[in-house]
Amino acid sequence: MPDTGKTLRPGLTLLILPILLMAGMAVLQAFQLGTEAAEGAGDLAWPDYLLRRMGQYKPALFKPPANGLLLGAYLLCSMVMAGVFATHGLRPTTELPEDPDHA
Amino acid sequence: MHAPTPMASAVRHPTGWLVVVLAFVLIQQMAWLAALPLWQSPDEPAHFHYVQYLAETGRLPRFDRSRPTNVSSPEVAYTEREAHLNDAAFHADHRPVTGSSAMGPGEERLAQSPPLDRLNDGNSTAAPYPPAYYGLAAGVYRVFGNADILTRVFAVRALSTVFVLLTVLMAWLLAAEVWRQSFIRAAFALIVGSQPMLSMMGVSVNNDAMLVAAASGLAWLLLRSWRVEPGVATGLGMGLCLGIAWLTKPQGMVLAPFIPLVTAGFAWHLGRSPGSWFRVMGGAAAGTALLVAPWLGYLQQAYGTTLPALGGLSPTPMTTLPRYLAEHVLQPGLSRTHTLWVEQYWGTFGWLDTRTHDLAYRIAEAFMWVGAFGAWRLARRGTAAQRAMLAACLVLTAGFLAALYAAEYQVVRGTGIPMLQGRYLLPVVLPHLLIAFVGCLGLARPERRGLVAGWLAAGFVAFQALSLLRVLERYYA
Repeated sequence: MPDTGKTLRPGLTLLILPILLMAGMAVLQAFQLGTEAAEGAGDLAWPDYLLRRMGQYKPALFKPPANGLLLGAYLLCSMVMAGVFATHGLRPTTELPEDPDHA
Repeated sequence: MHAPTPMASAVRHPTGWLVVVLAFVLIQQMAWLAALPLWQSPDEPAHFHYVQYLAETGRLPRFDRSRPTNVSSPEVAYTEREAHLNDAAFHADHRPVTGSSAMGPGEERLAQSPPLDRLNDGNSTAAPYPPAYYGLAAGVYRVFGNADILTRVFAVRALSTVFVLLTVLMAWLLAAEVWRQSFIRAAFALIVGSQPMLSMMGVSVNNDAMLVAAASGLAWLLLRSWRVEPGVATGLGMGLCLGIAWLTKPQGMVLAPFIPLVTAGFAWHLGRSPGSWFRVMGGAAAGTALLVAPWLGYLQQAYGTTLPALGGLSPTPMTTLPRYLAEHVLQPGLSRTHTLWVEQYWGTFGWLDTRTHDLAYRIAEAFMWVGAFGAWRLARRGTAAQRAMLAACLVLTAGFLAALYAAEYQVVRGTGIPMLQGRYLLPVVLPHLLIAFVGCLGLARPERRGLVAGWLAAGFVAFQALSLLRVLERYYA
């Protein structure tokens, strides 16, 4: 693609703001989830309480502890993927320049 | 100075990024399977009625509005009652699970003998739908035929995940028509795979995900025909994608005009011969007819019409077009427009009763507006290829949206009830998101485009995590 963006260069830095906001909201949501689950958990640890309730009316694959492993794997992979994609673009590209046949 | 990340170092082959994205989306969908409670997805019991009837009887269900609809089989009714489906649906403050045990109330009963009866009468609100998805789902159901109902429902739910993965693959292929850099292709594929509403429908007993996958395949073939002149085989592929979409959900037929429209536009712009265009059309017509003709024959025989069996439509118009536009499209503040195409499109979960944070919707909306601005700018200053690609995406998105409104107008005329939901736009999720993605990248210098693509993808991964955590809070906390 040709360079059509010289005049808007400074505005691009604003792109990072909504991404940080999204990530921040996800972290806050996780805290809210933990806080609310802790209120109902009674003597149980709140993650245990949460995973047990998540397992209700589901096959064995999605009952604890398997659902906890799945959820944990997803959250970990999300953080890794977000980190990799946010930082990989910093690298100077080693790939071929764009093909003029491509848009 | 910029050391490659370990994962980036491992991704040496261009398709390595695709494998990484597909693996991540698979894990994400598994987490959604673990998170979404039984029956807490739009009309999921009705869709399961169809699957169960087809699997248990081997016959297509017959829709009859004069009889009671959605009467569950005894085992489904048992789970609906015990899982408090009717209390939780549309009531965001009600949680369908109770207690602190991993077994729900009455759950043990499902695995005990004698088993509850599986037969229903097939007269669900999903019964008029074409059979492609339900046939596949019934096959999955029968593979797990000896298991309890929970296993059967979740096995059928997992089928939808396959279609999400196919959609991500189509996003990768489509992006390859625009960019050679595999990282940018991967970023686009990841954005599509992280669309929260697609994720939820991708773990539901519902024909939506299959429609999205088929429509995405068609979008890829159509946009590819700019760079690679299509022949009979490509036309056949387009026709098969259209046929699968049509046989999955009636909305699929709306995609039909886009095949001649987009290919003719490209052929005219590139000076291709009319003969080659007619060959593409011949292939497309053959592919479509091969799949759809038997279904139309069945519809004619069973319902006396080849149109979707909506039922209850009155020949007397109940509203005029201006009144429809005023009440349902251009109402003050465009509140319904925002609800449909921002909130419901990006993600309102469960029975569409669970929203996430307003700010998240605003950010997603801003992404679309910034992308639209960038696309407009690119259309004015970019190359012919860029203009053609953007024009085709716009035709697909706007045309599909217009067709949805036209269909709703007909339904409102007949019943007075609007029927659109935001997720109905998902079949054009690829061209729709491509406009915004291309537009955002078009605002950046070439050496920064990888960075912008990566940031956008990271933002959507965060949006997805936010959505899943919100679902957990709504149902289990």
